Amino acid sequence: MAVDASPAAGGTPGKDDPPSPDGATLAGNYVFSTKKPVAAFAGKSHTAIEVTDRRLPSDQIVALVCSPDVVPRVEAMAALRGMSKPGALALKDFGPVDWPDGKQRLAAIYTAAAGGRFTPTGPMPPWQIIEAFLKPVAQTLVEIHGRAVVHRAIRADNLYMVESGAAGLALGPCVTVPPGYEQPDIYEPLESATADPSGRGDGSPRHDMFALGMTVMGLLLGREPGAGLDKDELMIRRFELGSLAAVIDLTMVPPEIADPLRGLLTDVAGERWTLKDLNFWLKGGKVDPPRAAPILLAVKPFTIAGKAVRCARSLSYMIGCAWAEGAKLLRGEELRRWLRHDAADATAANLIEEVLRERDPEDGGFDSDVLLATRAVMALDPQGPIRYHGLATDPYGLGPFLFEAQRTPEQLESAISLVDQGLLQKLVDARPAERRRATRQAINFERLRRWITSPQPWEGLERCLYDLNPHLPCRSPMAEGKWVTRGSAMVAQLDKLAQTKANAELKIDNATASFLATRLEADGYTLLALMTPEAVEEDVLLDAIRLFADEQVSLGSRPLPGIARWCGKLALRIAESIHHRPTRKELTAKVEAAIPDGNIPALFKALAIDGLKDADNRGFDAAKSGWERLESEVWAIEREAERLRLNAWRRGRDNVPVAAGAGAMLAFLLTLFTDSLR
Amino acid sequence: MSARRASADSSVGLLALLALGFAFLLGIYSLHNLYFVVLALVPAGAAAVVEPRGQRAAAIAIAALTTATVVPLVLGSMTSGTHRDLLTSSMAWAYVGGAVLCGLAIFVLLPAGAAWRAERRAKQRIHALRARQRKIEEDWGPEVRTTVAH
Repeated sequence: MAVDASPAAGGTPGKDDPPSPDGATLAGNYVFSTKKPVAAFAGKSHTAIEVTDRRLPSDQIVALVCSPDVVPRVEAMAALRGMSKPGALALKDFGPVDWPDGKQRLAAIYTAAAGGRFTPTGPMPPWQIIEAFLKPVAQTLVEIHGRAVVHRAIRADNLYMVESGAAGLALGPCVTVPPGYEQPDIYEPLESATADPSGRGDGSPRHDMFALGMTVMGLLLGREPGAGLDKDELMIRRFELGSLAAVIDLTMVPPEIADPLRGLLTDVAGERWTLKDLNFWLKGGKVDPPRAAPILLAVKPFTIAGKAVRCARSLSYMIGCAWAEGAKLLRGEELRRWLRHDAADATAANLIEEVLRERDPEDGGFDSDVLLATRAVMALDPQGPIRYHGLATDPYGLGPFLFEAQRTPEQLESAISLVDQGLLQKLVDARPAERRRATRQAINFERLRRWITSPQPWEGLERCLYDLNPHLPCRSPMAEGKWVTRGSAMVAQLDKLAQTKANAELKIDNATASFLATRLEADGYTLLALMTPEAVEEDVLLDAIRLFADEQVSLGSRPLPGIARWCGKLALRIAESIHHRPTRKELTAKVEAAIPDGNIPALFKALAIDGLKDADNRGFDAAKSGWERLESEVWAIEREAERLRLNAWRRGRDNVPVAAGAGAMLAFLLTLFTDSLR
Repeated sequence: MSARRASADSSVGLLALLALGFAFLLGIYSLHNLYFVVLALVPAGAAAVVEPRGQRAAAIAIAALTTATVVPLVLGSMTSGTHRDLLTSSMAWAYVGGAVLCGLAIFVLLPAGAAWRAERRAKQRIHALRARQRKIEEDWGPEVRTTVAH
């Protein structure tokens, strides 16, 4: 479903207004103070600035301006806009704003919590956690999840005090960054904790439930859970002891809050408490504790990259971290022996043997150690992200992940290789059915694989980025920094561009081609016509005109004089390609009449005559053969002329006796008559 | 082939006999008239000699017209009551000269006219074809012109 990134546009633009990308900016309803930051709402990937609602100047609001380096959650913005619940800051509005650098950025207008950001001063008593945090937030999450949004930013440092000095806490913003992007690993369940922040995927409500439990733990401890532990140590502890036991001594858990902590922080997603369970418990109900099989740990640890691991999942984590060493160990006997004898995990050992038997692709272009380590991690921990050459992403987090990776050439190379290896689909296939349905939108990984290595200018990485991030604005210089996320808006932007004298010729760049290919489903020939109009056949040019004609209709048939002029040139080329001069003259007249009106559908209609080109070609061929036949006749007559003349002369000569006979009769009579007169 | 030649030879022979017979009779009647006839037919004979073998158009034309002119003159001189010497008659020779010229004119002008007429018809036909080509070019442009492999 397409979501307009500018709901604040306020209806359709006026008839005489110039076309603007995606409607308009938020500037119509809000006054932004770009030089007045609001520290209490500042984030790692967004800038908080002061803003005033023109309609409600007394409203306490703040604008969170998204960084251009991340992909904001526009669909979540659309779903959460207008939601007002005590357990979360209210998202009032969102849309593009003009930024001092001359470009547009996406901003989310939130109600500013009077109490500011919550900063824990020490451990919070369980009763207060339940009253001030769990109850309002659980109620709010019902609404959020009901709107098909997973918050993915529930953590202790993203809580706000609704009223100054009051106890009520509210969840902070979650829409300015990709899901889970700013979450410390500890707030993510094991299946996504090892992924890179940008590649954690949309996740499911169970991700929010885990983060909720870990936030409770943070409030309970009065500090970040797991703080002080090395990142890898903490992850290994989580895999081997469980996430709850990794951050707290289970005997230290206060009994009055132990049930929800066990329920929310279980690492078995299917056993994790749901919101229904939590709300039932908050109302005094008794919920069954999660059933989780005990994790079997090896007595003798296995050391990899200096870390001691005791089970297959923690081993797979470390193989993903130290893939070069991991690959070496995988090829050796020692690791499998340890798995069989010390860890008593024959299944894991068998899986590794299967991985070793897998054949590498023949086309090369990869490091076989990387591939081996990746396959091993996939086999040992199919629930987790794919881990490839130091990168880690959930298949469903590929969009923001690729966007982040393309900022670094080394990461980009690895990310492209990851997609090209076709491992993502394998991982999805290896997962249980319920995790495959983690997202509502299926991703065609095979198509992405084809695109990402394609040399076609409208494919490649850019096409993948637009395909995976449906609200990513067009990154072409032709968008002039405007927040253009829809195809029709890009058409309007191109029209604006075409009206400047500098852009007399219609030629789009690769990024625009990729954008139009994704958003308007323009085919390759059409895009080629728009990129190099001089290099394509005339019938392909008609497809390009059709693309703009359709979009003009979708823009409410607003005149597009710039594009009409562009298309007019293409249309004249098409008209001039018609051989039949009277038809050409008629078409040219129609095209020239449509250009000043900016009416692209009329241009298209003038030229889109069924079978015109074929009939013209047939007629032309017939005319050519007719001309040739006549020329041959002329040539034949010229060639035969001398012979015919000679034949005629001979016939004349042959007829001389006859004529002489007739002449003789006449001469006889004449002589007789005249002689008799004498 | 030989049968046809034999038939032609017999026709020529018969014609020669008739001519000799006619000349004999004419000579008996008037030797001057015979000389006149013989002299009048000299151009025809010359034409027969000059013309290539197998072609007798000029000889036939001149001979036919000369004969057609000479016969009424000779018959006129024979049947009229007054004696008239054709051999010395300038009027008679004028008739003979006119007949020779007419024969010659038929021989020259008839084939030439036929050839001229054929040439004119060819030019008219080419003109009509070129006009049709021009119409095609008007409708379809000069690119319809193709190189015809002659």
